[in-house]
Amino acid sequence: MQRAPAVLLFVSLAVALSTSAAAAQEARAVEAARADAAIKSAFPSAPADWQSRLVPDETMRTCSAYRNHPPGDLAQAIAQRARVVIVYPADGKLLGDWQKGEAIAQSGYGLRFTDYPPRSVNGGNCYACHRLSRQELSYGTLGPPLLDYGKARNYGAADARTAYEKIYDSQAALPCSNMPRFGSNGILTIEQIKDLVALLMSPESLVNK
Amino acid sequence: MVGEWPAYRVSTTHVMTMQHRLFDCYWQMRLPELELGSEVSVTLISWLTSQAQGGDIAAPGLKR
Repeated sequence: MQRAPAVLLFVSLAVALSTSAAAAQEARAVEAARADAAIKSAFPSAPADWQSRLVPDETMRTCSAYRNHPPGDLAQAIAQRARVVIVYPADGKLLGDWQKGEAIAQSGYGLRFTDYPPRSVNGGNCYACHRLSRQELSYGTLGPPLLDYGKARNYGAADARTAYEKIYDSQAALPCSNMPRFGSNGILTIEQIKDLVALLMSPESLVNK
Repeated sequence: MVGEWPAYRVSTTHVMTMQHRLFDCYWQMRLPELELGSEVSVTLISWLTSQAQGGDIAAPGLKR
């Protein structure tokens, strides 16, 4: 008699647990349309010309679908799509001014909803993810450290070109890279990307000191 | 990390919630203004919290 309530409690607990397990199973299979609707309603004040920021392009869709590890043919398609949109400097010079590059690497300004109308040129915010110089102590580690980038490559012309392409569209070098596509997405200008290449590849740059 | 929220943020000089931190996160990612309390924000924080299961609660934390 005395045990009965305990047994009842156990049974109802087991039922509740199995019900919630089933619910969790169901929750894992959330419909894509439902997720899209939730994302849309999370940004109700988004202006019409910002809606495109909520829509992944083909590269992002592929990377999401394969959790950043797409099969070979799809990875090649991503890299190819990126390669064909890269625009090179008209004069063929890939190295700009490394000191301007350092300022661009330090600045996280631009394209945030509080940055309109623009009060400054856009930055690259490179230090948020990369260590670039010994003197700057505040840097992120999501990306590899880039200390001595040019020195380690003997300041080679082919390496400057690789760096330009990587900054312009990271997907060309590494499909599903987490790095923003600074050129392709119109974040930085060609001149600014040249300044960043100089920051990496100039012997005088503090990256190589 | 999740167990350190809410946290004192040096940038705001106040103790702020994870909701506010997500708002800032989307801002920094160049996305539109996140609706505080929206389903996306709540489910994302729920997921982060479930990922932190077994970790220590160390709130309020100290953050940039």
